[in-house]
Amino acid sequence: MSNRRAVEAATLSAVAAQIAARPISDANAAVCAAIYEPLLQGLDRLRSLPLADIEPAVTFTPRRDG
Amino acid sequence: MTEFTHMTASELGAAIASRAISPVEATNAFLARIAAVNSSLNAFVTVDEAGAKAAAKIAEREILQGRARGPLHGVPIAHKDLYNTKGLRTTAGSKVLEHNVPGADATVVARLAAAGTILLGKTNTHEFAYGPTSEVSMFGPVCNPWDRARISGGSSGGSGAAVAAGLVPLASGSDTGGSIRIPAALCGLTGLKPTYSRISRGGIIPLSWSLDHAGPLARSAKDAALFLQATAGYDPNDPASSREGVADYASAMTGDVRGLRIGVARRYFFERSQESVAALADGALGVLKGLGAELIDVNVPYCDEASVAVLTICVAEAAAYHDDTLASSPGLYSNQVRTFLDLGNQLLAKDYLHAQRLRVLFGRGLDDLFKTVDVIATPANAITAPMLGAPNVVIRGAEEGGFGALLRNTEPFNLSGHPAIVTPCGFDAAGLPAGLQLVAPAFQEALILKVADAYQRVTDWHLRWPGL
Repeated sequence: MSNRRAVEAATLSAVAAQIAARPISDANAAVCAAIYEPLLQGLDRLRSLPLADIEPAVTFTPRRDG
Repeated sequence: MTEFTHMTASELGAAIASRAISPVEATNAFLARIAAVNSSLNAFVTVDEAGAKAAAKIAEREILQGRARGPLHGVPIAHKDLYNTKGLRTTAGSKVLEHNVPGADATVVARLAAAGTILLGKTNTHEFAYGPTSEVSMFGPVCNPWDRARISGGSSGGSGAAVAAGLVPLASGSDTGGSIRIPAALCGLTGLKPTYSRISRGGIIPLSWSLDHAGPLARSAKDAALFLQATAGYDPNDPASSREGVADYASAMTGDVRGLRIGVARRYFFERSQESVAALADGALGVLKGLGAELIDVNVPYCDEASVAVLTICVAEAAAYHDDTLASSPGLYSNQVRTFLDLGNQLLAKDYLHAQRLRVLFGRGLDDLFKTVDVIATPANAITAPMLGAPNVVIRGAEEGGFGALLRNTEPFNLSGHPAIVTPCGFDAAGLPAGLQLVAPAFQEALILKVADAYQRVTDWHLRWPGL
């Protein structure tokens, strides 16, 4: 189970400005938070599935000829 | 409307090959139709009249000289304004690319040109294909030919409206969460999303590298097969492109579906669609049963989680692709697309990787299902076309967001990469078209084309025309 707190607009604004270096308006942060929180809830549910032995569908294939 | 613009691409190609119609006549007829109707739909955003007429004359000369290129020779086509076209503006519906003129064709554009198609122009799209309505574009929204107060679906909404209204017999689209199949369902067309990697993404502006699929919006399964035949196959310009052999799609369309096991996905798909849409899909399945198919109820596992994974992957990959432009020119994006891109900046790498793990689990579940059935059937869309500007829709008495409802039945198969086709299967009480979606194991496009064609041989929903 996740122990994270619900996403708030103020948190998103701070992350956007300080970590992603992409300042966003308060209004946009509120819209993002409204989309983001259900998405993260969905990701929490996803973590409860039997994924333990599954590698992600991201592959790297070296090529002899570049 | 002339009789030319009523024809399917297959019929038109056959008439051109037999010299009953010249490519110049056909091209002029469609150009005239575009001039008369496009302003009421906003389907085309660029019309290359001079280029089309020049190409038609070349095709005419080649055919008269006995140098026929195949069943699409001389047939007009349009490409979604997400496909690079050499010397012809390609905007992705965004001010970011307002003045972008590519120096080379996308692989699909080049292959269809080599097959002899005549490029009429480019079709409108939701900005950067980042939405299922085609309302958000620098050119304005696309209108549905069946009711111009409603959306055409998206993101390939311009292609959908153009083919449905007879402005062009065949058009390309791209499908990241349903962007071919949604406008096909909402406009009464056949839409094909092949297996991931079957048709090259080379030269198509990406939305999400690992979810994007290229394919046709067409008037029939036969027409979709012609498009696929001309474009499928390995391409070094697409890192994911498959070396799997390309089938002979036309010869597979025998009309015989006796003994075919159709898995009917009641949970999630039928149960969360509008009653009228589910009833029309059930009616289509009844027709296929009458042709000898067997209907078996199945449960597609992890569908709710699949939608979360699709959104996570799409948001992350789109944010990476647009990272530099969003930093330098944020004001050139629409508010809606900029919001989605901002959202991508907040996701963690581990969230993206968890979504890519779910992708494997979901695909395995589907492959297990295909051990018991040959194809899976769902309503193509949960709803018929909503009104332009309506953020929410009502399904079985409950209100929900329009984006989620539009994407629900199609996006799971972008995650798995399985091929899926949509065929029209009737109209609701408001006169709006609905579709049936058929899904097959990877690289079995021939199978779903055969089933859709068998259905279309005994029904005429795909031949109905809006009153424009």
